[in-house]
Amino acid sequence: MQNGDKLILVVDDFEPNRDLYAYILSDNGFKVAAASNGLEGLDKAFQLRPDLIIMDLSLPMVSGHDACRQLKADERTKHIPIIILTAYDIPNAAPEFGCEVILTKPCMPDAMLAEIKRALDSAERTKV
Amino acid sequence: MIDEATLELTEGIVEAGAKAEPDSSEAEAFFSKDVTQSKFTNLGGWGGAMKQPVNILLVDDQPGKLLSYEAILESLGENIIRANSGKQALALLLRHEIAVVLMDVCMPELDGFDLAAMIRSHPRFQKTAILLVSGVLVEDLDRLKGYDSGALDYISVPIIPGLLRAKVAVFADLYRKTKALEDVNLELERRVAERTAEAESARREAELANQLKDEFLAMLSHELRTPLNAISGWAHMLLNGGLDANTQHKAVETINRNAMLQARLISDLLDVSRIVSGRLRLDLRLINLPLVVQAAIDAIRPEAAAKRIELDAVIQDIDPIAGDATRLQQVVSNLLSNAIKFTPADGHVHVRLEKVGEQVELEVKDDGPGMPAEFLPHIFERFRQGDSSTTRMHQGLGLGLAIVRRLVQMHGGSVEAMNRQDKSGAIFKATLPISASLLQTPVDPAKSPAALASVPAGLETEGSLKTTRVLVVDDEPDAREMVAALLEQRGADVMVADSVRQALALFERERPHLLVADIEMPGEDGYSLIRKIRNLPLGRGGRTPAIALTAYASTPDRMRLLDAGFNVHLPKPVQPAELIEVLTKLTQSGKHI
Repeated sequence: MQNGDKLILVVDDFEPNRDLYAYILSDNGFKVAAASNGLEGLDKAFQLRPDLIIMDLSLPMVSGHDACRQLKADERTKHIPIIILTAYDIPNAAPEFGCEVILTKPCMPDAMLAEIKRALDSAERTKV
Repeated sequence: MIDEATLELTEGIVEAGAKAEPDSSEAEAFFSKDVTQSKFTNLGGWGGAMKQPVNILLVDDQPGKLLSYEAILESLGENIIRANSGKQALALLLRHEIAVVLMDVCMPELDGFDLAAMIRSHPRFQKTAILLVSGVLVEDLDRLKGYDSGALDYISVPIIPGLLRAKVAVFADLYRKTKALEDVNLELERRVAERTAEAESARREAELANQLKDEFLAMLSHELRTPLNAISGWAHMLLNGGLDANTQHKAVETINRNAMLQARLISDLLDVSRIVSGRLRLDLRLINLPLVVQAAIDAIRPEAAAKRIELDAVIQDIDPIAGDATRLQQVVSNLLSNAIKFTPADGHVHVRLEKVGEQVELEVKDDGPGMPAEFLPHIFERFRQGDSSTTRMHQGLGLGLAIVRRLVQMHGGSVEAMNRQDKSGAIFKATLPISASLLQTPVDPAKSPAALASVPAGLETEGSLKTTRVLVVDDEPDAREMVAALLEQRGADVMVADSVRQALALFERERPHLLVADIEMPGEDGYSLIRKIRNLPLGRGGRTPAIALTAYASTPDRMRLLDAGFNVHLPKPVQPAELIEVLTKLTQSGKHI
C-alpha cells in the first residue's frame, strides 16, 4: 500500500491540532485535506471521498457525532473509515458513534499513524 | 355567690333582668353594655399567650331565656352568640367557630337531642362542647339519650347560675386549650412540611450542582487536553528529529502558544474559584487606564493576526483613575479574546475608551454572529457558553466573561452586553467610575509588595549575571533544570538543591548571592527555608536576597511569602525575561550585603 495514494481528511476546529496532523500525515506520505467545522467536513467528505477521516467531536456548525452519523448513513461515504479524535474521555464509545475507533487527545503521532494503518488495511480487506 | 345560687330560670329571672335587680351583677352588666355587639369583633383570631375569648352559642326558642343565660355568662368574658331556633343555630355554627353550645332540649321543629346529634356528626364541630338544658325533670334515660346524641353535659332546671357559669367556663377553657394544642400541631406539621420541602429542594439543588460539576470537569479536561495535544504532539516530533528549521520554529512556537493557553485556562479557573469564595482582592492605586488598555491590545495582537482580524482602537487620554492595573488589563483582554474568538477570519474588532461624564466607557465591538436573545441574560454567568452541547462553536470554559463582570463590579462599575444594530456582531461595554473614592487607603508605592515585585521600566533585559552565585531550590527536576539552564546561560554560577535540607547545607557552605526557591516541596517547604535563612546572622547570609518561584499566585499568597522573608514573589509559569530582570535587579541591590 502506498500512502501517497491515500487521502486523509482532518476535521478539527482547533488550528494547532489541524496543523499538527496535517504535518504528521504529509510527512508520512499521505495526501491531506482539512476542514475546520462539521459542515465543511461533510462537504469535503462528499466532494473528495477521502480514504479516511479524522474527526474531532466538538465542532462548530455540525458536531463530529452528527457528521459521523450522516457519513455512515450515506451509501457514498459509509465505507470510509472514521477515526474520532477527541479530548473527551470516551475511548470505548466507538460503537455508539458508528466510527471505527476513538482516540483520546493528547494522542501521540505514532499511535495515530498505527490506527490509521489498521483502519486503512481493514477497509482494504473489506473491499476485496 | 350564695345570693345567685337559687335563681330560677323562669320569667322571673327575665323580670329581674328587666328591672336591673341590684343583686344580679350579671344582669346589671348585661344592661350596662352591649356585650354581643362588642365581643363579636373578636371572632376568629385564636391562640396567643393572652386568653382569647371563644364563642358561646346559646340556643333557645324563648328570647327571655336567651337573655338570662347571657346575663349569667357575661362575666366569663367570652363572646356570646344567640340563636332562637335549631336551624338558626346550625347556620351560625357554619359561619362561626363555636366552642360551647348551650341549648334547650325542648324546641319546636329541631329539638335539642336532634340538634346535638347533627352537630356531633359534623367533622368540623368535633371540638365543640354541647350542653343541654332540660326544663323538665331529667331522667337518667333522657341523660343517656343526650349523651348518645353527642352532648357532653346536662344543665338541669332550675338553673344555678354559678354552676352554669362554671361548666361553660370549663368547656370554653377546654376548647381553648384543645385549639391551642391543635394550632401547635398544625404549626409543627407546617414546619415539618416546610423543612421537608427545603430538604428536598436542597437535595435537588445539590444534585444539579453535582451534575454541573461533572459536566464542568468533563469540559475542563477537554479544554486542557486540546492544547495539550498540540504540545505533546509537536514535542514528540521535535524529539524524533528530522524537522526542517521552519517547522522546528513553528513547533516550538505552537508549543509555547498552547502552553500559554493552558496557563490562561488555569488562572481563569483559579480566579473563578477566588470569586466564588470571595477571596479575589484588588490592588488599588492610581493607574493610567489608556496604557492598560493599550497593553491588553498589544498583547492580543498576535492572536488577532493569526485570524487576520483587524484590531483598531480609539483611546482617549484619561486622567489616572483608581484601579487594579493587572485586573483591568485582564478585563480588557478577556473582552478582546472573546471578541476575537467570535469574529470570523478577516473580520474587525473595535475598541473604544472614552470619558463620558464622570465615567469611563470601554467598548469592545466585534463582527461575529452576535448572541442569541435567550442567551443574553446569562452571558456573564459562570460556566456558560452559548451552546454546551458537543456542537460548540468555540473553545474555552466560558469563564472569561464571568470574571470580567466580577472585576468590573469590584471597581464599582458595570458591564453590559448587546447585539449590534447596524450588522451582526456583539458589543460589550464596561463602565467604570472615575472617582478615586475606591482608594480607601492611600497606597505607599514603596511599601507595596507589588512594587517590590514589579520591575522598574527601562531596566536592561539583557542583564548579565556573571560571577553571581545563585542557589536554585526545587524538588521538581524539570523546573529546577529550566531555571538553572536559564541562569547559566546568563553567566550565573548555579548550584541546585532538591530539598530544604540540601539547600541549607549548600547555603551555609557556598554562601550564594541569590536564592531562588520553590515553595511547595515535600517535607520542609519554602516558608521553612526562608525563615531559617532569615534567622541566620548577617555574616552568614541572613540577608541574602531571595525569590519565591511558585505556582501559588494569589495576592494573599504573595503577602505571606513576603512576610516570611522573601524579597520577591514570581508566580509560575515565569517568563524567562522576567526572571532574569528580577535577578539582575536584586544582584545589583543585594550582592554585597
